[in-house]
Amino acid sequence: MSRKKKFRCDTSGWVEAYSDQLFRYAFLRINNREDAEDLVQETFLSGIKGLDNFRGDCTEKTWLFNIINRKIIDYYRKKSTHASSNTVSIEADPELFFKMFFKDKGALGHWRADATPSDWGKQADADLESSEFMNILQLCMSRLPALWCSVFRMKNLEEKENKEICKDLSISASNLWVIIHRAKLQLRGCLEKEWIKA
Amino acid sequence: MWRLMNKIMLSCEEATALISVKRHRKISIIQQIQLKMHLMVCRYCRRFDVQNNFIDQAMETWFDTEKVHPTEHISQKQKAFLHKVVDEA
Repeated sequence: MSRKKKFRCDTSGWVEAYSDQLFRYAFLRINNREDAEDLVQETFLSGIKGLDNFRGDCTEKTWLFNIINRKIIDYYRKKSTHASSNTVSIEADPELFFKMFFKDKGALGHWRADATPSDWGKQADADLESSEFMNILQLCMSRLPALWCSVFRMKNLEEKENKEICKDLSISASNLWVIIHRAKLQLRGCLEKEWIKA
Repeated sequence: MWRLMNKIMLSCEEATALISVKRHRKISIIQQIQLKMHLMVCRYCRRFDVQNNFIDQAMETWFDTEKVHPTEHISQKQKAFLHKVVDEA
């Protein structure tokens, strides 16, 4: 009982102690400021509501991060079902998407003249961490559909296995490969336009 | 002969599909050979291959939280609001 009481008192310090960390964690994964702030708020509320279940066998920090992790996965899921029911034109017809980059099979499926990769030359040796490049990358990432983005987040941030990603997003393995292929084509094109040729 | 070539040779669409995912999953020996053959004759896909590696690397850097976003903060307004929410809960 005394332990429970102690945690109750501690909640007043949560906002100062964890709101920035939780926000940064969520923002990096969902790339949307407002939604990330909402998730932090929901996390605190769930945390307070669930205090009785918190037995203190892990630190409250780990516990809060577990909560926000579950909320982020729910967020990805919501986005992926949203994307399939409320489709953008490229989502609706994958063939159409690839036609923006490649000619018909009759023409051997070569690159379209207006989509061929140009030589990036020396510019690609640039400092990856420079804020100029990072801003452009951010711009190009934000142009990807949310579901495609979440695939890369889960791969790079959470280092999840392919199987886990498919399960969390409720997609098949072949869907996953197509998403990665499309995202790479689109990102490459965007970087070339906004960075190399800008 | 032409037809046979077409069967063996990948289209650029197929080649870029393999290039995009080869870091994330194993591709078969046959696919590896097909891709090598395609890359020998297609300079655009060679470029795509190089740039694909670059993008993978850039994304790794991007996701390295502390390196790239050490300064992201929740807004003061939201923080004040959170204080209220937590206190009332």
